[in-house]
Amino acid sequence: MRALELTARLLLALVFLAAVVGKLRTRAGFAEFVGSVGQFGVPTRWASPVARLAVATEAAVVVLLTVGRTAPAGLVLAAGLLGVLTAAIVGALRRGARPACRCFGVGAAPIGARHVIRNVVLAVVALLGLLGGATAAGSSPSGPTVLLAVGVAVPLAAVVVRLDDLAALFAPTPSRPTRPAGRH
Amino acid sequence: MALLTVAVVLVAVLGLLNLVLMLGVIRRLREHSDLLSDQQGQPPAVMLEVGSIPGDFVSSTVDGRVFSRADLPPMTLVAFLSPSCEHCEEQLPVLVDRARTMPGGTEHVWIVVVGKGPETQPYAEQFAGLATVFVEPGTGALPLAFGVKGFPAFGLLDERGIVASTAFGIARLDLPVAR
Repeated sequence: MRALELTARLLLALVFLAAVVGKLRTRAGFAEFVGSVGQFGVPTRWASPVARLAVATEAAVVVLLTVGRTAPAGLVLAAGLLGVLTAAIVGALRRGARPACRCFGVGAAPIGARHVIRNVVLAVVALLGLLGGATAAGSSPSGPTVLLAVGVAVPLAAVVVRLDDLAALFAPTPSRPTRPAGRH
Repeated sequence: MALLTVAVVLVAVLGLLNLVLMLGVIRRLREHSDLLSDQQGQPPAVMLEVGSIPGDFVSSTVDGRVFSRADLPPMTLVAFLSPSCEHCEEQLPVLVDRARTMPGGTEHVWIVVVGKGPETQPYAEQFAGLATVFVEPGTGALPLAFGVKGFPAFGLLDERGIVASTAFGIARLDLPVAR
């Protein structure tokens, strides 16, 4: 199942690449991310190092996944990182805190159940990729396999990265605030 | 077969392009929704924003006294009415009632009758002894100084002469009451 492994690698690499680029693209974006780390229960003193570590780990995942020989290690690291992030989100939700999800830099949607589901699905994808790599026959993937993996992974990655926008699209429109009766 | 491959790749590329455009549109739509809901939350503008200071003006009352901005006492109710507007008529009883209970009496209630025709005189006379009454055209000094955008318009100045609250309905103003 070389195709499965390739798809998982590509999907996770794209998602984590978007996360790294989104956080580091603007100085303000990274500052906001550091601020949001503080809201996840990390002491203020440690917020900056923890944020740096998180971004560095995401970048490491991207690098490991793109190289064929280190791909299994990348998948394991991705699953582990997703587990840690999910634990942080669940912990914050348990405490009743709803900090904004700065997963991809900008964006102000408060964290919610959908982020937990998203991370769990991505972790399952990583494990499926490991499974596909373990059961793969042959060394190098063929052309059609690569095409298939790209065709599946790219749209899925786009949907995952823009999940907040899509959720907002199908959410009920915010009810119109009652207008003051201006004439009365 | 080659043709089929090319066709499938082309369709896939089109689909991806469509996805990218769609996600862009959804993102922009979300921004627009936020902007719209922000705008809906704001009440319509009556006159100057709360927190601003009225502009300079010089105007004379119906009984011939001249007032400028320096003579505008703090804690003053300023009402802009027009003889031609029905909503002003509805508000008159409440306005008269509030004007009577305003601390400081007539000096602290300014009623500006906005209009040009002969009907402004009888309209202004009903506030005699109740308020400091002015008659001005719509482009007069007082409507301009207060930036009035519609009628009736009621504003309250705080103790520093800053616009504390504004409303199209006098019942919505937080008025002090004489004890």
